[in-house]
Amino acid sequence: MKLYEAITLWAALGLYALAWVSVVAGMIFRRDTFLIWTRRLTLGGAAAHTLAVVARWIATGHLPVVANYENALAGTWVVAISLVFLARRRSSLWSAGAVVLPLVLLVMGYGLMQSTAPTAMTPAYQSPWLAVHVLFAWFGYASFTAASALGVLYLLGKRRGERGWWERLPAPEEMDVLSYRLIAFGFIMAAVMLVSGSIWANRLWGSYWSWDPVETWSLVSWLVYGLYLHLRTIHGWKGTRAAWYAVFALVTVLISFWGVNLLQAGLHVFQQM
Amino acid sequence: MKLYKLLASRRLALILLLFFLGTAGLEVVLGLEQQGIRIYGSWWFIALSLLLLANLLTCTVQRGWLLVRGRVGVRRWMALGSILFHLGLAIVTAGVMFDQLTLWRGRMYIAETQSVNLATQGENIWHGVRQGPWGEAGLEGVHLRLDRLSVGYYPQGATREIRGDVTIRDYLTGQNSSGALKMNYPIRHRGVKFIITNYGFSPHFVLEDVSGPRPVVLAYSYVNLDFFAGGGGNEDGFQPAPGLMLWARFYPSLVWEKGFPVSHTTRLDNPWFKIRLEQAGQEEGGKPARTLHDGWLRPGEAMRIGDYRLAIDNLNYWLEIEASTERGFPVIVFGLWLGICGLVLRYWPEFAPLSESGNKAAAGGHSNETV
Repeated sequence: MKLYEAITLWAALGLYALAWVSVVAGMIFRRDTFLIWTRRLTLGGAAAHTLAVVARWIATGHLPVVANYENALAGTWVVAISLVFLARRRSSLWSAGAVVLPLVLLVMGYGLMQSTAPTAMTPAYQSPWLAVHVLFAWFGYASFTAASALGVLYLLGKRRGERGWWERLPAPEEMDVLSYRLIAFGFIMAAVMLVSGSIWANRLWGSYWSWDPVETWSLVSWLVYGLYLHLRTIHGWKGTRAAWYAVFALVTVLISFWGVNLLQAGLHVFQQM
Repeated sequence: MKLYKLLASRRLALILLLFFLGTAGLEVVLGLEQQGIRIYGSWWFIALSLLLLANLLTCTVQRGWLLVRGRVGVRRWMALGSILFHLGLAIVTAGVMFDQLTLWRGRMYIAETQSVNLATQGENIWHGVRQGPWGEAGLEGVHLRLDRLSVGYYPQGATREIRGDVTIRDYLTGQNSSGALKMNYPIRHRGVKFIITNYGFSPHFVLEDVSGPRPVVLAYSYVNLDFFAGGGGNEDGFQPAPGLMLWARFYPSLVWEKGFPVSHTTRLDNPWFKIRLEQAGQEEGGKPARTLHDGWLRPGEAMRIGDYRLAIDNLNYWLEIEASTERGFPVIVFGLWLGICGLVLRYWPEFAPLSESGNKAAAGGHSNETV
């Protein structure tokens, strides 16, 4: 890792950590000042994170999508940017950082524990489908993460009632709708990810689907969110039930992004060639 | 009618979805397939997949009929999107099944400058063959030649490019073609797709018996060596002559680390072969194999081992190519495209800006009539 990449990355992590402390303090002490600081710190962290991604891109000469560290770096960047995007008009949604930021820190911490040496773009990665597949995966997973964060806020807001700091949150119905929209958006993104991935796999490995653990769990998480959409559309699941579902469904995303490689080796661990 | 109701039921779809979630979850967590317990190719998994396909199709037909008759409420575009999405899924599943049912697949090794007849020639050419439904296991009348394989490297030693220049001669159709076969860039001929699955080195060994007044050539052949497994390369053996066994391990870029030979790259920086020549022992408790020589040899050099002379006079690459049909390809791609279009159509209206009155209308969820 180059020095400027390390500096910007650690600055981003520090700012995210402070932003998380600030949002939690805001929840506990119910002061608006903390929310203002959460916004500033998260924006600062996202800016530093952007610089770190650009620095990595320049250093390696390719989109940072190869190996665990680069996936963590760029994947968490999309998640952080989705938080910024979500809260751009409704400042109360910065409180979603209470859920999103620790996830960013955890995944980034996992990435930093792997090799951070620049990785080569071996022939297996040299496909136009790589960028499509990975970009849509990030958009999808970032949407699911944000939807889950809104689910947590919905549940907390419901429990606490519209008192004190909690009254700064958007109305529960609005968070419910936003969470649903994010899941619908993420579902489309994840569908494109699966489609582009299977077309790429057919060109690279000779078959569309190999039941590789990462493939299988990506499909599982997509089906889980598909089930959410069906339950909501057909059986009218909304409010608390939908929020709990959005929170727990994120587990499948974490497993497919993170956990499967710890459990099993598969084709997604690309070969030497 | 009962069967139709069962197939069109959403409850069945939910149960099947939950079943797939549970199965995939258990398989990944317990690593069942890695333990040799077949899940995804088992008869019950395929049967339940077929049931899900039938369920999807029936639901789509049912909702499509309601849409045609104008009984789906106000959001016809959303309903149409939902139908197209499910229809797309059904088409993809049908395409994949058709693809698998009509598939033949085989892998072959081919060395540089070698030409291979792709018609059925048993295990001499093909390995890992999956015969097609009409017994096909090759391409009649087609010869494939690997003119050259070039491998490019990054400065650090990682592989940058693998490119096989191949020529295809089709004696049945008279269509001859040549092209570059690269990873991620398959070539196709007569509905068969060729992809690179592996590559390695193919040294040309010459073993001569020099005990007499004139040398007698015992072996003169290319040997495809596997390499680079575990950083040290695999040892491959072949029988150059009756009673003799030659073992070779290739280090494309030999370095010594803590007294052990390793090669961190396949780039030919410092190529060496670890050679072991054995005289076969007698079976059933007789004499064990006797090592005649155990040492190192560079490509382009020769060595004397007792009555024998061993040389590696050339070093080529070999390529492993997988050939397979993909008869379901157009159906699958059409289904995928239709499904994505359907999804966008279904959810696009949901992303309208939130408003006081719009909240409830756009609250998703609400509409039995849309699906």
